[in-house]
Amino acid sequence: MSRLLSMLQTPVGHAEASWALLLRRGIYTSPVAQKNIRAGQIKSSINANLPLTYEQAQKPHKIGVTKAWNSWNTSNLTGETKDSAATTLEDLFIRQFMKGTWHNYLASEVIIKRRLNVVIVSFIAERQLNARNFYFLVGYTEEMLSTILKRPIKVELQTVRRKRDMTFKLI
Amino acid sequence: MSFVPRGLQLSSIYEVAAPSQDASSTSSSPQPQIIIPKRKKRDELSILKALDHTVKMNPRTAHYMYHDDPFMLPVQINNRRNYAAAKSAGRKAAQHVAKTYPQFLEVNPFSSWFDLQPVLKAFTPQVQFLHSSDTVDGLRERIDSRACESAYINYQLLNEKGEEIPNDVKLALFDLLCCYNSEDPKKSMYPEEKYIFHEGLSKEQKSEVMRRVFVKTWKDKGPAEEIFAATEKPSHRMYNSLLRGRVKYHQVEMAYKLYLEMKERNIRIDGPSYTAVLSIDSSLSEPGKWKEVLQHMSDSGVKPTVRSFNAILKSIVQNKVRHGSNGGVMDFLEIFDEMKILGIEPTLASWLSFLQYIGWDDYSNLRHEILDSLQGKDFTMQDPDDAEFFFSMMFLSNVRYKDMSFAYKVHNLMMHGQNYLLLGSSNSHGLYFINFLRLILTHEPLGTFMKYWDELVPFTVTPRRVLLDELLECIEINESYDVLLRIWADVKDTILSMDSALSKYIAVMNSIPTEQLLETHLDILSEVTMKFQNEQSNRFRPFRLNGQTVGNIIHILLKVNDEKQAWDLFTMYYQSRSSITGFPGEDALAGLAQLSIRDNNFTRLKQTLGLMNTVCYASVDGLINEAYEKMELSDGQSHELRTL
Repeated sequence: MSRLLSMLQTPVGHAEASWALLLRRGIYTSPVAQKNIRAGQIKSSINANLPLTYEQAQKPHKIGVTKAWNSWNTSNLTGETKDSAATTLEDLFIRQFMKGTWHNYLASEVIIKRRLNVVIVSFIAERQLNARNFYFLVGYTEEMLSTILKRPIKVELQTVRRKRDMTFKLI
Repeated sequence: MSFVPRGLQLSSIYEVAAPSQDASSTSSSPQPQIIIPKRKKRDELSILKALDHTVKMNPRTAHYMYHDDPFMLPVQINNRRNYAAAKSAGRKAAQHVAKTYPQFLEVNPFSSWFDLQPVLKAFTPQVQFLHSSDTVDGLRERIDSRACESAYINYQLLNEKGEEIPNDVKLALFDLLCCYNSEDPKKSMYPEEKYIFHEGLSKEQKSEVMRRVFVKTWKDKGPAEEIFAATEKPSHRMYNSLLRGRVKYHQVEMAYKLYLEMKERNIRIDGPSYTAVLSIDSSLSEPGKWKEVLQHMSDSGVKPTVRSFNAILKSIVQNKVRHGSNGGVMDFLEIFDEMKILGIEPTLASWLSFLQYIGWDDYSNLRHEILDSLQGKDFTMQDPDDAEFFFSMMFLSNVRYKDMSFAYKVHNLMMHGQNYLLLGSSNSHGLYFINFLRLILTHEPLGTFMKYWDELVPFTVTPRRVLLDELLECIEINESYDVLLRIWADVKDTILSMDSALSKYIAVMNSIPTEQLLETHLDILSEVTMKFQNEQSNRFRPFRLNGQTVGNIIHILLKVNDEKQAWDLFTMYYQSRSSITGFPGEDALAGLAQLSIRDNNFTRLKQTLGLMNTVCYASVDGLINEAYEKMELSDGQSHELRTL
């Protein structure tokens, strides 16, 4: 890529000559998409026995294709800059809170959806407690987050028997 | 006994009891022109209301409060209450944290980055008052935050200082004290708590709740009365507030006295105060004053509302119940007539009062006609008593009328549109459906009952003991044993948690005649046996079977020739028989004894015959003789048998 750039930056006469040379030699010349394809991808283990959920198994470029976003709000749409920093910070905070309050029970990513001033926190939990204790935690989470963030929070919850049930593939 | 003409029709109550101009309009008069508005007026709630109307009752799943997940849905008898209570307990725990550390929770930590609109006060922890308690601003602040007790202290401090209190502040304070009986208002319950409030209360708790509703709690020498007495010329607003306060907290005689005083002095009485006076009519020592009050109302030009009329109708019903007063039906006619003239549509509470009044007499045509006229109408809550209608009607249909077609009419009306919202709390919701199902069970074929059962159980209604007992009896009489499996699949946990239901269920299973059908039910038996084996010595919730049930299970197992399981269960029973009530039946024990004779097993024979001898079963002698004949017994064993 850097060679191609330096060629483009060279004076016109030289560039023309170089292009002609390249074409004549039949070299493939379309620009290289230098994406960082390692980011957000989980490295495979030696024994290929690392369980991944569906969400984790999809690579980042599949977002919007075979998997969806973890934060749903209007401030992360293209060109929207208003409140995006604060919304992201709040989302980070909510995820930290969930990680602590539902410690070891979370079997999936925490999906945060915003609609007007309502924040909907949804996730999948492992059935380590009985349903009554989960309801306690739901009530606590809703009220505590509402008191901290000053807006109505709703928890939407699904459960799985074991975290193993969430395995989509082993790498 | 009230006199009601036999042929009394609904038309004479409401539909035709119309102003005279209706009669004068003839066919010759021009047809009323239909005016199509250019634009339909919408308010800010129109879209929300439209969306709201798309939501209907879904009997196949639980209340929206519960999470739609197989693990989180309430299916057992106490789950509904426990889950809702747990959720509200979680909320309270969070509130406790907020109360303990309010300094950390005053603002949203991210709010410096963006605007939080609208500001919701409910999510701010309790903050200290800004103004001190001896200033007028402090008093205003306390009134705004409904802190009755500290507002009154503030008022006293200001009086001691001799500071002038503006009249509007004084009136606002007086209104507040009357409204809350000079106490700080209790924090309103969470929706989850409200929903389950009456469920699971003991009889004493229920009567305590009822007592609080009807017993006088008004503070006769409280701050409100003191301020009123100290005021030289109380304004009409003060009179009205005091009147409503006394009515709200059941100081009825004094309230009526105040009303008479106001009437005498020509003090303006407003609509809600009239309604309050009308609502206490039946509690007065001399009831039946509503006609005078209504006349007074008419003279002073105050238009009654639907709640005023409902208060009168309720008073008439209560007068009949408490004082046995008669002549009510004619009064009803007059009141419905008046409502028609004023263009007020009766609410469900109005019809409830009327139907309750005639409920104990035989006016089946009339009540059918009323229900027919209500079909297809959408009702919204206009009176707190509207929420009583469906529950009371279904209760009357089951307990009093035993009228299936009437119950169907009530049910159709309830299922129409959003009328199901008027079903009330979780408790009345459950009782409505239990009454409905019991009625169907009694009057309809079992197939029809099972159609409703499949729709309603287990999410909308959890069957209680009475319903299960009646259902199992019905199955036994009809010999429709094929539904037993369906019932087990739906309410397995409920049956397992109720001793009587489980024994009855196994007993019905025992009467299944064909072995082929019986074999399909064997999984249930092994489930029960496993549970008995694993949980009979559970420290917290031991699972016990009674002797009869053990006997029935053994008998079924012997019928299908599963001897191993039968002996296993018998051994379990024999080991823990001291903690189990009742004895296995004669069939089961005799069957086991015969098996042990066949297998020449003296230990087992001794155990079974010993048990049979304890209960004095008649077949013991025959079995002992049989053992002598067929078994090879040693001298000692023969002696043991003889001494049984």
